[in-house]
Amino acid sequence: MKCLKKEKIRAFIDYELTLSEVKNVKRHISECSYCQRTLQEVREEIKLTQRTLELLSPETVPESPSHLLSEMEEKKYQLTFRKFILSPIRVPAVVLVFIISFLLVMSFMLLAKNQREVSSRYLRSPEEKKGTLSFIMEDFVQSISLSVDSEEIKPIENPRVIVLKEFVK
Amino acid sequence: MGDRNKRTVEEQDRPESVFNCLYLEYFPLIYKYSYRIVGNHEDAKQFSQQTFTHLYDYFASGQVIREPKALIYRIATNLCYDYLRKKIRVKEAMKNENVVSISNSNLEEEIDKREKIELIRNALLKLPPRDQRCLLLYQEGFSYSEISSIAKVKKSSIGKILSRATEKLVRILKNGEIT
Repeated sequence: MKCLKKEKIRAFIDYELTLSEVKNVKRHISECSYCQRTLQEVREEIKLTQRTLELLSPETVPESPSHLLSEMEEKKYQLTFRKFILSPIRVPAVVLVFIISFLLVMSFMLLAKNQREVSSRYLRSPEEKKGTLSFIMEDFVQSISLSVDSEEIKPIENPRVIVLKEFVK
Repeated sequence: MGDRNKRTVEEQDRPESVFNCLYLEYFPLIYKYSYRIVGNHEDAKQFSQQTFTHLYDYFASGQVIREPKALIYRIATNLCYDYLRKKIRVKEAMKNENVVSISNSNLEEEIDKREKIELIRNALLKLPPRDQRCLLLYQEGFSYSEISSIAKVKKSSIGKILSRATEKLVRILKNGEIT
């Protein structure tokens, strides 16, 4: 069997091998003096590195500062507000509501304007008791350049009344 | 440590209380970890605070965090190494480390220790950033799969990276290649 790679021996030391791999490695190491030496070397290297890197640690480590938590609390409220306003569903919904309300207001304004125009055109004064229809008719007559005296327009008499009148004569 | 690693943040848990627990438990650990990378208290404090600010954003965004410990270390690692990438600031950090006042009692001992620490840090900085991360995370007691998820390296290559990085670091330290 070929000698083990250093990384394999390292993984063996770090308990990162499967059960069957561990068996194979153990069997090989028990037979191979070269790999036994390598195992020893790797162990020493790991120890040395760990000792060395431990020197980089700070002498004192502070407790978790409490002011950060209160800052987080403040941030939470800001975030909640932003989340409510800028959530992916709410943004289009809010925009849509604005558009709809704008359109509604505009249509009401237009309706009111139209109403005022109609009333100013056909109901000039409250004393005039003529119906809207007669004004429209006047406008129509004027527009086709005809002048008709409205007093001449008389209601058509009921044909029965005419017959009765003649009968009386 | 194994149980802590597997702890998951359930949806029904209150995010604030989970965050508070994580904060109280991991702040000192992250401080220590950041200090090892950046080498001074001010930056270590700043990065550990930033780490938890970022973590808070994760919680606030409503994401379910399966491995909070790995996430915390990943944020811290990224923050510290983004900082280290700016080489000028690395030099500043080393200068700052020297400026820190030394108590008069064990002056020589203290100076020796500081020099030694600086030599070790220089040796570590000679390794590629990926190897540094793997070594420091291994030092924190993480398994190969955790290191791979935090440092974004294939799990299959962790063994090789660690083995080579250790070998190289030991060689640098022993041969006195440190400048």
